[in-house]
Amino acid sequence: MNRFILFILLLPKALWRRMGADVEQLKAILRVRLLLDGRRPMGMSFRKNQSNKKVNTAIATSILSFLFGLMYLLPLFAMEQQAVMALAFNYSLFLVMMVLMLTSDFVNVLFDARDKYILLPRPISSQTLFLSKMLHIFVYLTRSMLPMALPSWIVVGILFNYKMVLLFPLVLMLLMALALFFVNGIYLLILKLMPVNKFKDALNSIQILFSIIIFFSMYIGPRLIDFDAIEQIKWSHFAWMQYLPTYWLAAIYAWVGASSPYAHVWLYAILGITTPLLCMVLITKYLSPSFLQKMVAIDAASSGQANETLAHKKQKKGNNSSWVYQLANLLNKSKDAQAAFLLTWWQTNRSRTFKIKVLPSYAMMPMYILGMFFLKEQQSISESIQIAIKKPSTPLLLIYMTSYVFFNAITYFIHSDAYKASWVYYAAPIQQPGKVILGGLKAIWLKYFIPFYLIVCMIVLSIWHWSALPDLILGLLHLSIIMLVVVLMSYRALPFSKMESMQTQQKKFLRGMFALLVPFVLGMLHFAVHAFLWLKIILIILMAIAVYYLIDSILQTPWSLIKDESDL
Amino acid sequence: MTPLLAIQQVSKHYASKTVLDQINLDIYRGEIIGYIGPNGAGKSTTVKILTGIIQDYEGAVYYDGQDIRAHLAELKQKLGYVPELAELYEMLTPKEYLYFIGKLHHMEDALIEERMLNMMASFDMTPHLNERMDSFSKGMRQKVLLISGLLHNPEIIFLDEPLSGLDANAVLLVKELLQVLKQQGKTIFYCSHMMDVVEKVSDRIVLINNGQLIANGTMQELRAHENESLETIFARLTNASNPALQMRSFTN
Repeated sequence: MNRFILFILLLPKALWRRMGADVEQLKAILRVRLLLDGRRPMGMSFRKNQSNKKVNTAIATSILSFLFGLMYLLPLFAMEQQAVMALAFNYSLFLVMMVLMLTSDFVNVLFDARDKYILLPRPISSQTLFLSKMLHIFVYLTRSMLPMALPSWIVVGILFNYKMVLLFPLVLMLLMALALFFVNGIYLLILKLMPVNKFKDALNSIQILFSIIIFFSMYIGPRLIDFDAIEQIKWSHFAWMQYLPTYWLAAIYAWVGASSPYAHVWLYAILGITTPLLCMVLITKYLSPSFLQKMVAIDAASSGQANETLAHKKQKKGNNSSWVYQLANLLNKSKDAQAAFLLTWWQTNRSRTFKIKVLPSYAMMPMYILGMFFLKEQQSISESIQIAIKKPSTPLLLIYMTSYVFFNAITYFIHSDAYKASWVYYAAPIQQPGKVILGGLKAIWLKYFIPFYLIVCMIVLSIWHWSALPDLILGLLHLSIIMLVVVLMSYRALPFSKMESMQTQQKKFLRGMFALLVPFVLGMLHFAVHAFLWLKIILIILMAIAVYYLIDSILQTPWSLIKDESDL
Repeated sequence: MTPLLAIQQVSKHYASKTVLDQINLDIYRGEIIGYIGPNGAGKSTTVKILTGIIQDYEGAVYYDGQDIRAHLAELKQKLGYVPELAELYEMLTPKEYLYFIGKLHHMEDALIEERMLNMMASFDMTPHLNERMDSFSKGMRQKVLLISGLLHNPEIIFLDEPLSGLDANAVLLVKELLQVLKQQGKTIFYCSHMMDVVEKVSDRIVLINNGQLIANGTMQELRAHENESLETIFARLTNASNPALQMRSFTN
């Protein structure tokens, strides 16, 4: 497969030479990069994933991409009568997605630390190196985008005609070239606006934003869209679209028989073909040298080769805050637990992986609540609120929905890119690893659950007043039980000591699904006793005892249950 | 004299491969042991057994007369370990990391603070106390690693290639540190490929090859003739072929 990809990539040899690349070197670099991709399978991104289940990973990723691609059918169906406009919207959605994917993932290819040792000392021109990165990311995009584009590809064939089926892959490639150009633009802009050492931080924020957008568009977006209104859209409302490259690409379709509201559609079509190619030439020939220089600077800033001026900028004075130490001592009796509490508190503040995986769920939660209670069809928001308040289940739903936010936090408090640093646990005189687990868990509970729960408490108390207090106490106990049960069943490990892999995810999936029954059962139990105060009080006492025993179970975790993955 | 650490008939197998083959070794209080051997000889496995990280081995290891497997936590409290190429939670600052380590060794906050500040100052690292370690050079990380291994004032210290990544000044500092620790009565188990350093700092040299101890003695005892260097002794005992001949065929 790699040979075929390589053959296709190197077909326009003359073009690559004209761009200043050495084709033999280009071939050698790409061959190794594709080989490495096969040995280190990628998920949604180029981040390290050392799982052996690469086939499963690829299939799972493809299915997810395919499902995601179904969303892009919306403009095709909604504006079927305006083929060029429908395609322009469809292409725009693809372009936005590609730009978002590349903005976050391309950085791992573009700023691959290994290049510094392996490629940069060799006699390789910046054009060759940059083009190799571009083509590599091009392959990555094709692999990710093909399943995503499949629904649109099929539908344009059904809705329009077979010629469009033939044209679609070409358009997709041109879209990729455009996306690469835009992303380079974004990078250049960030590099211009921010100091070099802030570059990766800025990209982290973009990545988090990207995750939120994906969640939003997958779960909430469709609820908010008024499909009837879309069907009423007139192309005249979007006259500005004709100035966008995606419209030019859509205009290519006019060549094979579609009608367009604009004259000189052939001109747009030519623009559609030439613009992406010109963009590619522009970035490879003119932008790549300065880019590579900055790449070295960024790499130096993040890898420790940096001189004093770069290194001292990473200084974090904020970590002197003694209140965290005091909090750790206050909430944990044993030193082991204090250590784990502090480590968890700091790591969760700074780990990029943790933030990307966990923070979007916090943005999603309010959206979910909005979607569930207040965005009902044929109801005004005030009507929705009135109806929601009258339902006895509403405060309980609010309480139990908060369980979602800490599921992610628990999952990623044991996983870390720096899992090999966990060797210290095995060299330290820790008698009960359970104390360490509990210390870390307390930090997660306090940092990622309690603030959210307090907000829910305030909302519930302001609407249902003090009568809801027993429910809030019972809810808190139930949620704590849920957290402890999930940890006992699936995540009984030392903080930041595990490598995340598909294999471990799959193993935990079934146990996790079973663990999810616990919130359901406890929620139903709470609902059943909801009308009886005395029953709630009895339950509160029983659940407090259950919490005590569950904490004790975690404390009693023996070393034999802890698997060392530190590879020391 | 009773040995501080007594290794008796220790063997370790990984699947069908024997990594350590019936090792016997006594280490006495206040000694600096230079533990050398070719790559893959079993040095790191020995250290992991002695530090209690590996527990499934045959034979027994006694610390002050007590089987270490029965008193693991006690042993770990008394030992300091600086592994080779070890990773750190580099998103933390040295101050945070050392607090974390100090607490894992059950130290009081004030003591952690005091010892950390002294040690960081000794390695000229005070200006970097509150910087995140992801911006550190290899040498700076190695210094933090060394401090983390000594923070709790251990009785016996296991150093696996402790000079890795250190500059010439820092190497001098560590050599001096070894002497100071020796004067304080600490026992040091020193693994390294840097023969000149091992030769200079060690009281006794133990050579391991293919999982077996093939030499154990002072430099004087190991020398076949006067002025023989440790490098030559190493090559002789491990039956290394003539490097000059090997490299001639390499360039041809």
